[in-house]
Amino acid sequence: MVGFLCCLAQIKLKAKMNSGGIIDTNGTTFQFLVPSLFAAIFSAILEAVGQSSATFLTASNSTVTYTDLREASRSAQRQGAYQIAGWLISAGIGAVAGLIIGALYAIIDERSKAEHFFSDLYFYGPAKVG
Amino acid sequence: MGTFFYELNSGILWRLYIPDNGFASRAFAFGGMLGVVSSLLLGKKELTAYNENALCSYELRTLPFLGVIFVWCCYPILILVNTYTSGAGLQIVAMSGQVNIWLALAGSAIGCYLASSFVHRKFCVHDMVFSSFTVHPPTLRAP
Repeated sequence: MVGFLCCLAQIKLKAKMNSGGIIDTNGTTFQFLVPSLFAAIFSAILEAVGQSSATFLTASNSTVTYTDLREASRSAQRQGAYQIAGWLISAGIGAVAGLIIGALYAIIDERSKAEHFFSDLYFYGPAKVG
Repeated sequence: MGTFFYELNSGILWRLYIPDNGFASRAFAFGGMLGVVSSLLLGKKELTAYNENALCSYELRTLPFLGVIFVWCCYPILILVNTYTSGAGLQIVAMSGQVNIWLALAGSAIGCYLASSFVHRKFCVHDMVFSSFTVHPPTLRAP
């Protein structure tokens, strides 16, 4: 289901996102960012309903019990909320890192013509002198 | 600098006791947001909006598609190899976890294939390359 939705979003929304200038390449939004949000929500649900301490029977009839992967003082619901908080923290730190790295690279960015973009020859060609 | 922020984020998640064994948050959310925000700053709209080099040629799309196949095959192994070797009795979790991830990845690829075929009336390699990995294991647990 997530694959279907993300593929539709990639087809329909990516062109709109990039119509005013390329800002989404290599699946950063629809392969990394959006699916990770789905994963965080799914993880939060699993934690909140107590699935992190589930027991199951393997094909060889041995019982495996998952360790309760939540902090001892937290309730299951609270740990679920922490899973969402973890996604927000990661996205927030990613945004700050993107701002700093983007700003630093913008200072040394020498690209000034259209042919400089998406050009392997420009990026990986002989060093420019002078 | 990117690795510094990655480790900072990873350390915060560990300290807050937030299981992220599939790296959905610390790798994918972090990296995705970093890429989008830095692209917003570096986009240079007037030079990239109608750049004919922005899209790779039809023939060249085969190469990233081959890469996707390799990653598809290796991804569950790479994620769970540490679990496999980290203690007695964990092998069954690592092996069953791999199968579960491959099943999820298969579902993701089929969903992507359906959506691509639905919209384009044929299978588009570009869509498979950029949206077939939409399964990030949310919580892989170890006993």
